[in-house]
Amino acid sequence: MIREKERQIRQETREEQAQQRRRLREFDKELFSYTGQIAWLLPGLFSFVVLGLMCIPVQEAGSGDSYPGIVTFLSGVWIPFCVLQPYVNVTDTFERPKNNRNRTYDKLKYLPVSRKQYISVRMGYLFRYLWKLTLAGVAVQCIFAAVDLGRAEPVNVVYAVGVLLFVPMAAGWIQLRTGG
Amino acid sequence: MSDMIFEARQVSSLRRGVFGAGQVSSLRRGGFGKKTFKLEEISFRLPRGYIMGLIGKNGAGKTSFFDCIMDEKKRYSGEMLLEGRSIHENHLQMLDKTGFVSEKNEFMELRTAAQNARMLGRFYSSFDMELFKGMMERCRVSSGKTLGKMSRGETVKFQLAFAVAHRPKLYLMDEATAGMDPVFRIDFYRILHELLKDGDCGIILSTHIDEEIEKQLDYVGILEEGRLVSFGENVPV
Repeated sequence: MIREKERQIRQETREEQAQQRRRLREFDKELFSYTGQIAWLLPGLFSFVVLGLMCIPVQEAGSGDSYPGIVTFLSGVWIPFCVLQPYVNVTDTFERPKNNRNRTYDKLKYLPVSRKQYISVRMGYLFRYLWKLTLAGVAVQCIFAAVDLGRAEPVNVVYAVGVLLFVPMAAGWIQLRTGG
Repeated sequence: MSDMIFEARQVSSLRRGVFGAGQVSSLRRGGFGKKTFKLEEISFRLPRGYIMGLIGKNGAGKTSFFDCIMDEKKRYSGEMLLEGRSIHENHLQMLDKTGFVSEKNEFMELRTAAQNARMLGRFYSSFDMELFKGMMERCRVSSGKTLGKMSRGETVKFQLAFAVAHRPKLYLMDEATAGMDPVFRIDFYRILHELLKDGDCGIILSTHIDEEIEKQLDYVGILEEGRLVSFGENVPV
C-alpha cells in the first residue's frame, strides 16, 4: 500500500517535471525570437574555427604550438557562452546589459519554476549543439591524424571529446550555476 | 480543507555562522562584527477570507518575511503552512498558489504587459489571459504598454492583474500601495475585498499608511527588529 503510494507520488513528480520542462522550452522559444536574431551565427563561426584547429593532430602539440589551448578557450568559453546567451539574458544578445536585472532566471524566480529544471533545460540546448560538433571534431581529428601520422590513436578521440564536449559542458554548467 | 489559509510556526531566519561554519539560528551578528538581520520566532495564523497587515518601520523584517516564503531554498527554522501543507515540501505547488506583488518581482521591462503575461503566465496551472486583460482594463493600464515605461503605480497595477489572473490562494503584497494614487488606492482595496468575497483566499500585505491600517485590514501584525511583537484582530480606535 505504501509502496503503491510512493510509486504514484514518483509518477506524479515525473509528470510535473516533464510538464515544467515543456513550459520552459515554450518560453525559451518565444524568448529566442526576441534575443537570438543573430545569436545563432556566433557558435557557428567559433565552431568553424575550432574544427579548423582540429585538423592538427594532438600528438603534434608537443612541438611548441599553443593550438590545444586556443581550441580549449574557444570551445570551453566562447561556444557555451554563445549558445546559452540568448537564453541567459532577456535583452538582445548583442545589447550590453546595463545591470544584473536582465538575467532570465531573475524573471522566473518567483514563478513556479525550479532552478534545477531551468538549468537542466538549458544544458539540454548546449548538449544538443555540442554532440554534433564533437562527432565532427572526432572525425576531423582522426582523419588528419591518420593522414599525418599514419594512424589514429585513442588519444585523438579522447582529446576531441574532452575539448569539444566535456570542457564546454562543464563551462556551461558553471555559467548557468553562477550567472544564469 | 484547513480553515487557515496561512500559518507561521516559530519562523526564524537562518544565518551562516562565522566562516560559513553551519547555520546558526540564534546568531545576531555575522562574521567580522558585521551586523546581520534575522527574523525571530514569528508565529501567527491567518484564516481564509481575511486581509492581514504587516506593519513595522523600515528594516523591521517585512520584506525578509516575504522572502522566506518565496525563496526556493528553505532559509528559516520553524514551519510555514499554506492550506495546512508545508510551503517548502512542495515549493513549486505553493508558488502556483501564491500571487506576489513586490518591487522585487521582476518582469521583462522591454516587453509589453500582454507579452509578459503571455510568456510568464504559462508557468501557472490556471493562468487566465482574459482575466488578466479584464483586470488591466479595470486598473486603466494599457496591456500594450511597455513595462519599462510604466510608472511605479502602473507596475503595481500590472503585477496585481498578473497575480489575480492565476487565481492564487494567498496574495503577498510588499508595500504595494506605496506610490499609488489615492483614487486608485480605494479601488485597489475594493478589488482585494472582491477577491476575498468567496472566502477562498487570504492576503498578507505590508504597509505604512495609517488610513489603511485603520480601515482596510482585518488582522494586524507588528514587526520590530525581526520580532512579531503583536498580532491580533484589527479593532479601530
